[in-house]
Amino acid sequence: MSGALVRVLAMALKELAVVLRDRRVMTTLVASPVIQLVLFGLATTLEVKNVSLGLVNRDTGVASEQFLAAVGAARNVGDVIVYPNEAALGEAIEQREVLGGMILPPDLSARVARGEEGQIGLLLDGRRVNAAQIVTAYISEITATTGLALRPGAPAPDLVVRNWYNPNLDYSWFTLPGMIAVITTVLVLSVSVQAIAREREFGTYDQLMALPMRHWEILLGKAAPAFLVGLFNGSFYVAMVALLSDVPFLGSYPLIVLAIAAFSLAVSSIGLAISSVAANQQQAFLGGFLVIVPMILLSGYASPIDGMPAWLQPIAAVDPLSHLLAICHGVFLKDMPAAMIAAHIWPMLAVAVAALLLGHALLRGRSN
Amino acid sequence: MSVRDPLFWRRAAAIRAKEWAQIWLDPSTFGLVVLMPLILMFLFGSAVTLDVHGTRTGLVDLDRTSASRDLAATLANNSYFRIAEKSSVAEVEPALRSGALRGFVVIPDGFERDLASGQAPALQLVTDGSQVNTATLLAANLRGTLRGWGEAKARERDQAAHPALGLVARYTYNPELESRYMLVPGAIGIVMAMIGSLLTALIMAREYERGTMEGLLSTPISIPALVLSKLLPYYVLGLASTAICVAVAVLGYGLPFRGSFLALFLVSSAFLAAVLGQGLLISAGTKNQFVSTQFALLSGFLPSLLLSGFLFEIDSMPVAIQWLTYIVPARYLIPPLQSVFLVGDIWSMFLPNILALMGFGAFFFLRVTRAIKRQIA
Repeated sequence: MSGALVRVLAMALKELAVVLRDRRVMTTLVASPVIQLVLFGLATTLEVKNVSLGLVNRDTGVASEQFLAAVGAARNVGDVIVYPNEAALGEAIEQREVLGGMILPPDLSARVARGEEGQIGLLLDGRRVNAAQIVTAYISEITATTGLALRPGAPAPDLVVRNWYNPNLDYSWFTLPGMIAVITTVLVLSVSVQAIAREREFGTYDQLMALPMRHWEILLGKAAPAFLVGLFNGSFYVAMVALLSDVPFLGSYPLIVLAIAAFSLAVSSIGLAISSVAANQQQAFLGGFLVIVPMILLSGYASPIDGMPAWLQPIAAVDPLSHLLAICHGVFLKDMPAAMIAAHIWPMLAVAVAALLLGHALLRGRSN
Repeated sequence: MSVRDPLFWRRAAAIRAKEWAQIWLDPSTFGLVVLMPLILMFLFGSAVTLDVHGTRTGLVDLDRTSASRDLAATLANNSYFRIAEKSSVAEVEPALRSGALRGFVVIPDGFERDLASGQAPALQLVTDGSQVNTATLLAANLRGTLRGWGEAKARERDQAAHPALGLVARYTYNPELESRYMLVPGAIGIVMAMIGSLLTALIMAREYERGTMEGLLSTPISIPALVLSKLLPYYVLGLASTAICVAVAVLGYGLPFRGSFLALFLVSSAFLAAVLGQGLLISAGTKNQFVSTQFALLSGFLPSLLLSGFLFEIDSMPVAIQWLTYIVPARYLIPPLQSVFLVGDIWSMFLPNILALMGFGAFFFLRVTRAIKRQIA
């Protein structure tokens, strides 16, 4: 057994030397993820702030006056641009000058005065679904409160909202810890998919197979650089975000490092399984890419898993990234206890074992 | 050697034939051109959705009266929420921390009594703020549901009761506000960006890495002819992928296609020219397949996904990043692409975007030819 350990270590050291030898590779591994973290962490917001809205106002009564005063006071609405008619508003929406507009009909105040319901129209750009749905919520809230001020009605239940873990719903508190997980995925997978494919491309694969090593020893040794790159970079990003951004870090650093280790192991095993069948680096990269994209999109980072079709949700639960995301948000914002983190670590380890077994079988199948 | 030289075209054709042979020999290229679009169309058509449905929400009913049960039933029947009833707040707290619930609603003691006596009882919603978008939409959906419930109750007591103001929201081009209508055309842009920058990022780097670039440069072909003939096959592959995507979007997901194929072809070609040039420049600049793919991811794929306005509104980004989006080619692709599906041909919007993309293409092309030239000097 100790002989196996020595062989795996020797292989790991050799692999690490290969990856670290090239200065450009080093720069790529260190610098580009930092840029990604900062740039994309700040850019990716589903918030809708300061949105410009159009207005077609045919009513000069008290109802439109009060409604527009409330719209003007709302912090989420930026400029209100007046258009003479609906056609002009439609044109502006088509050209994407405004997201949409409010249409106040001529009989609005009169209907309110008669005790009927005055109808405010809202026309939004259906190409921008997320923004349209959020603005609909803003405006319907304003409509309801203005309506109640104009004519006090039967009491409807009120809602007091509190947001735990992120009281002001600061978007970067979601994206920055999330980006750590996403970027670590991309990094670990792109390093690990080359491991064996590179040998094939350069014709050294036969020498590799001729080494006095078992297949699983080769696999583990080959997994080492990607694993270490993920562990090192992931831990570094966590420290960077914790120290340099205003995202609170409430949980335990050793625990999140442990989770990153389990995650790096899982993802580098997936990468090796791909690498075992790839004939050259191009195939390896493209194969890796075919895995990275679904991993990111099913992880719950781009859109919540709850909204996915029921049959797809168990698949999303296998995605190691969905577990690391839960841990990142949990450790940064929720001070997640060890038992809850462990519940996310086991599935990642299971994926690691399954992928290693698959990689082993593929490598054996290929070399026979 | 000039374009008028008959040998220019013959030599270019020879390199083109060699590229095609290389593509045919490697099945992974077809994996990217055929499989990737299908996977992406499926993910953006079926998995990724911006409508928040089935949000796991806890409910603690401290009132347990007919009014509170009625409200609980209304919430449970609403597809926005997946309600799990809990007996106390102490029981939901760990569920929110572990992520098993995304929020919980507390119906206060005395809810029915307050309603009957004409006071507005205050429900409490606690959200998992770590999931910002879900939290925002959960609160908005719950507010809307409560308002609807209150109005329904008021009408039960008094048929003539109307709120003073009502809102009628309409969505142009997408009446049901299906997020698929926005995501699927966007995904086509992502596919093109990927094929453009990722495939081409490999092709020159591979020649350098395997040492075959010298051989290529020692042939009498001129640099522009070399670059063009390297790009052309990938341009064709990019268009083929786009065609697959459009077919899936229209036939598989029932998206309308209100514009013309000519507009789609022109916009796609201009975009492909830009990203192919970008990929080739990366490839010629780095000469290393690994570094090249990382660069292509960083400067091609990720900006197209995150900075193009496809998923995330550009207007909501920090100002410095808003400026940065102007150098992301996909920014000029997404609006025309969404419009050609949902709206129709808006040439006044398409033409400036096409021009911008062709500008990118020309810029990258010149840079690539110069980058290669410098190396032989």
